[in-house]
Amino acid sequence: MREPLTGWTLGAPATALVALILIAPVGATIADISGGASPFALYQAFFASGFRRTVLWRTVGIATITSAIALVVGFFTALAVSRAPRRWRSVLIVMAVFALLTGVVVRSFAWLIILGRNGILNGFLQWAGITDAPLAMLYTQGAVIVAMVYLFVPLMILTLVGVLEGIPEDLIRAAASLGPSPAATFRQVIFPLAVPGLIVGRSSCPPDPSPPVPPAAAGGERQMVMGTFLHQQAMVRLDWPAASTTAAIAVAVTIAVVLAMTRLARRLNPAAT
Amino acid sequence: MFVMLAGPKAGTDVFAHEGAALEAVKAVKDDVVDNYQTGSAMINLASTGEVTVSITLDFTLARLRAAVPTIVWAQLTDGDIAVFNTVNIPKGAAEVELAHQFIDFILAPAIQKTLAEQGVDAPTRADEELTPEAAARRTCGAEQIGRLKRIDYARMNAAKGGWIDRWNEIFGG
Repeated sequence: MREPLTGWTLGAPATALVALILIAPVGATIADISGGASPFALYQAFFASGFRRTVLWRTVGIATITSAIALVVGFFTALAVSRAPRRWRSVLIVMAVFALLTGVVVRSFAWLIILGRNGILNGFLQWAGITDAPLAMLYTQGAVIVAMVYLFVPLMILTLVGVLEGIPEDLIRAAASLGPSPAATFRQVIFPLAVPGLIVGRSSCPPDPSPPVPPAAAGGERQMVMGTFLHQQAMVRLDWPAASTTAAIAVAVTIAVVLAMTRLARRLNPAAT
Repeated sequence: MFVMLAGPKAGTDVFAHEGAALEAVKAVKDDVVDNYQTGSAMINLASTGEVTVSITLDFTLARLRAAVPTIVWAQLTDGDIAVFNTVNIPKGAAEVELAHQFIDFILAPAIQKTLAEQGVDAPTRADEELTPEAAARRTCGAEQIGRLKRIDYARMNAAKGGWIDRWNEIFGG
């Protein structure tokens, strides 16, 4: 009986901090919706608009694809780093997360230089004779996904390296000694044990209320997502109730995704959560 | 603002019937690469070849020319559009006197001249004399100022909520 009580006691300061810096502002944002207008009417207005529904589904679609790519790229990169000789790991981690040393605005605008009509990629394609004229790559959903993946893969790697390093080598060797193929060892031993890291990585990675800078730089107005739409409502229209409604829906989507991921994690590895 | 300017092209009073003006905007949708948020974003678009023509504020001209030396400022036959930089003192501000002093500071002849020469803001003082080199960085003179189209911001702000929704549907739907 004493052990759970001790856990709650030890966790109380961190819980209070989270409540103060996360729950309070989010709660205030949601409460702000009711500033004069009926919250129901505002949500109804959001979902009655075909454009707003498009933005929401586009955001979910981009976040899902970005997450899937970031998980695959991040997982296998982290696996390679965690299995590398110890003296190389630090170097590899620094190389993997080097992009984080620059600001998110710089990283996002770099894609203008890479994907632009006069950009590096179009220059290479024409130089190699693959295309005759510059391709319009910016302001497409693909450009937004590439910019988001680039932004979040380093975070995924950082999260997963710690988890994968924590899987004992003996365990993998013991599993391998039973005769399964490397793929079966990966599927039945390594992957389930890495699930907690995948959940954390997914949660801290491409969030569903996506940050506005990468989609704005690579996708512009044509690929508006919840983050850029929220920015427009708050900073251009100065419509705070509508911005709060958008923020509340984005938070609800995020919580739903995290809960779904947690449920999936329990199914994949009952001991993971 | 663009919806307001599209009104005369569509032959409609945009405050009474915005539909035709928005249709006029929709007609040129495929020629629009992006409706940018900042001058820096627009300059990047020009320097990467993404756009060749842009509506922009005059303070971007010096940096645009540095990025794209061949770019020129087009003289619109029906007059340029007046967009103002404003200095606002919020209602209930604690230091109104200091705010007035700051406004006096930025309107002082020496500061006006420096801002104009550096290509930041055009001088607000009508009697400001610039060197030919500094004047080349500016897009306006007495002739342009006299033909500026003024925007009724109060009416625009009151109506823009619905326009932005339709605008979003055109460009982002």
